[in-house]
Amino acid sequence: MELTEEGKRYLEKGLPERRLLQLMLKSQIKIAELRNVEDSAIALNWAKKLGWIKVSSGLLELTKEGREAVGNRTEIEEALGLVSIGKDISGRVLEQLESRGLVGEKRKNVVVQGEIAQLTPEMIISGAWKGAKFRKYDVKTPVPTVFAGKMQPYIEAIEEAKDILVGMGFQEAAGPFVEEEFWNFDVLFQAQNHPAREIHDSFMVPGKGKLLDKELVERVKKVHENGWITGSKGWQYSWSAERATKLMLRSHTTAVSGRFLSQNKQPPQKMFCIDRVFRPDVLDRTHLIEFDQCDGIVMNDKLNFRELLGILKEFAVVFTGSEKVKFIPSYYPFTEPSADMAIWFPKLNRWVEAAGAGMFRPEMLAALGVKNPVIAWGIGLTRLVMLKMGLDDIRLLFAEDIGWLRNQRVV
Amino acid sequence: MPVIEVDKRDLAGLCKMSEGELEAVLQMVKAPVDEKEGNKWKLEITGDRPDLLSTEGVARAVLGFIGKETGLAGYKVEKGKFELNVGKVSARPYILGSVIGGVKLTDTLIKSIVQLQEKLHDGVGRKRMKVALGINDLDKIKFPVSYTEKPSDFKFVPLGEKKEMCLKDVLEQTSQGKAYGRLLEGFEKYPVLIDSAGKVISMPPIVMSEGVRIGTETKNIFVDVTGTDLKAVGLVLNIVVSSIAERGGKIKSVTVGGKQYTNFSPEKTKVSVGNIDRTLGLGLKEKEVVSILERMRYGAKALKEGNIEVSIPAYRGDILHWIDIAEDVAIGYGFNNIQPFVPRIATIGKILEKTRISRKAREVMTGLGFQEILTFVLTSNKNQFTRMELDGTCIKIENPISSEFETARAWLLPSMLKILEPNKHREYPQRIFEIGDCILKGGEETGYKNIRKIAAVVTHDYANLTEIKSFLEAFCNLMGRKIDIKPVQHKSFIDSRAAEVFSEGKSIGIFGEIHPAVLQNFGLEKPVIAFEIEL
Repeated sequence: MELTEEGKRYLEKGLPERRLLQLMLKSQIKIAELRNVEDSAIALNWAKKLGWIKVSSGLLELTKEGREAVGNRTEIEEALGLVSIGKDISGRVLEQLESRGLVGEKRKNVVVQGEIAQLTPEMIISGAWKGAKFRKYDVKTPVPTVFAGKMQPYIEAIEEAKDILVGMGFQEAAGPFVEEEFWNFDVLFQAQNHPAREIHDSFMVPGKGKLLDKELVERVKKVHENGWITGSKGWQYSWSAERATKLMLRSHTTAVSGRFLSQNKQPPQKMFCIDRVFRPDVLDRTHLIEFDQCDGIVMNDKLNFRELLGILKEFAVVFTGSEKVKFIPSYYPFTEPSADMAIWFPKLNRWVEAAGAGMFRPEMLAALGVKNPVIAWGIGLTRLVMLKMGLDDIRLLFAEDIGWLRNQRVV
Repeated sequence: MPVIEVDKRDLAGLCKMSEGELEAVLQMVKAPVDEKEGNKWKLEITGDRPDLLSTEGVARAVLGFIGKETGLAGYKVEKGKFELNVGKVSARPYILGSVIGGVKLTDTLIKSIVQLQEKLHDGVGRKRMKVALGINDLDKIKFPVSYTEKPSDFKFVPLGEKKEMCLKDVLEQTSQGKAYGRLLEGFEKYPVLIDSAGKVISMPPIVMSEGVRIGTETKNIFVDVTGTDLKAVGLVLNIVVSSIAERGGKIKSVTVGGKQYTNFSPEKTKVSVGNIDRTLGLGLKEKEVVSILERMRYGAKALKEGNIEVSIPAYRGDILHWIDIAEDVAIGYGFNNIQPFVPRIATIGKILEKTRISRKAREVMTGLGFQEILTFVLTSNKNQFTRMELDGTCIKIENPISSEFETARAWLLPSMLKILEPNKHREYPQRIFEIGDCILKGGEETGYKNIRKIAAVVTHDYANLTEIKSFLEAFCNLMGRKIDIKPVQHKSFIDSRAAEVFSEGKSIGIFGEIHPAVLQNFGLEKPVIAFEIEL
């Protein structure tokens, strides 16, 4: 054990609190004047801790303990002396000395023999490296691989799509995986005997929903049966509320768009939802039974088909980087006019159908109580990301191979 | 969407176009080419247009679109002397019929008609439940014919069979009977269409009869359509008869149940040019709309005050509202010609709080050195519970495609453990995490709700409780979540090395050392530690 540089200095000059005490005996000291005194912060701290002084209206005052301390050496001062002549101390006093950084372990005498391979803290502290030779390393030697913690690449693409839509002024919405057929089909003016509602196109879940919004249910029934006030013929059949209570895993995020509109009827509105949907299929290189869809809707007091194509194209161009898109006539039960969007992928040298879009039908809007036009689209985002990433197997987006995931580039 | 196969030379000939031009047009009239194989093109027809399910129907639309034949397709219907008597048929009460005389049935046309019949059965016909149709050689039938029902021992020779069979055997033994017999389940007598000589024409909706089969020698055709919905029956009859008539022939009416049935009387409706223009944003004038509608094979006449009287072809069943006509105006204008326009609508974009929290969680976990993974929501009960040494169930999907995807996950850990096995040869330590929605019981509307969770898994030779607790504490600390920890007994974890995690008094998850029995169930050989909490 030996004194540190600071310990040696204090032994010579006296502890900072001792020096302050002596200063105070000479004259009255204002706290502001301490700024120029060496070690004053430490002195003030310890003098207060020991109860030697107190501060009142900016002046330092000696306490009774302070006056008593004037002629008496403290334990610490004794110990500093002892350590300086090579004696060991222990207990509370040692702890205090250590915590004040006044004593330390005796420095080992480090000697470097031959060349330095691994540079060590001891070599640096002792200065033993001075004059020694460093072994020459070959910087081209292969090294072990290290792996960064990082995002799943497909999720990265999804988050990027969200950022683009937020930038375009869209607010995010979400809905449950388990839906009533009501929200997945009926609200979207999909007739109950429509072929797309056959059981092999959706995953059915046991139980029944409660159809909480009774007024909405009534209006949906009317538009299905006879078009209600819309001037439409409707589907001309007897609509069954019982059927609408059936539960399923939602087959598209348009279910979320419907829920959003039922709560947000004042224009303008821009909403998006990027989330999982479920559809029975055969799992292969291009098909999954669950994937992510990106639904977007815009409501405004004036809005037309040309503007739908404009907004959808803008998103597609920013997200895929392809400047070339085209629109093709299509059919969805809940939109009219409807269109599909194809994007030109130069790397693949072909058009890829990427989105379905359209203006929500008047029957659907009337049932929801929406009085303004709404344009909508749904993008099969999973497939689009697969193409964007240049993958030829969609299952890779849910890759189990940790090696593959670790090595996917982030730029 | 239904797909039909056409001979490209045949279709190009009908449309009087080159194949190259034709392909581009087909995409713009809801009949895009999906696949090509030699002279065969497969066209994908949109679900709203059963009138395009034949070469002839597609040609009719193309000829209009390119302006070669515009306006309502005029089909003349002669008054025929054909009587169809209708008795009581409980299983499918409605029937309509039509005759087309003087047809030249080539192999191509027969193929097209048979394909049309099949596609109409599947789509509009809802797998023959709503509508079924028969196409018969008129000259093999003696009118008047009767639509009636017969008991199960009644016999005839079904199409494709060599000997007589009773109705019951037709249902039980023929492939058609097996496929569609359920439509007649519960009825004592079955529908039969029979001629005045007692010859069976068909047994709707199961099978036609061998005795009236059509062939290239057929000159005159009798079409019968039966069903449970009269409107759909009429639509199908109009689609079939108009398609055949596109190749020539004279349509003759049939008296059904004493009433002369007239095909092809177009429904008339009034549309406003202003409404159409506001919807499309193309700045179209009345005259342009009229001319486009005529190219889309409507009848169109300008009325006063910006209205147009539109006659809807009788083979179009998809026009419910003027918006459907507006779409056809857009199609006729040409989607290629529409200049997309981006409106400036000021709104504030924002992500959900759930998304924001997930992003922060992802940031912290990647900072802690974890690789993010993504697994499916759908999984097996075995994986979710049995392999985890637990009893339990989550959602049971009623129609799973396989037992591997029979349920939706209630927690993330099992799927993450499953990933470790195929990665045994990858460098250790392995640290992975996943953020995702699970489905739990609860939720007011459906009885189920989505809960977002995060799970983290670490595996290497010396993985232990201290390490995972350090990670959990670091995560919760940075996410600003104060947690309490209580020891818990859980069969997936080693006893006394698992704890339940609480936040604001509510249990939010668990962490600990995975039980070696579970590791064995997943085929793992190194210690695994994990946490999973609600986010």
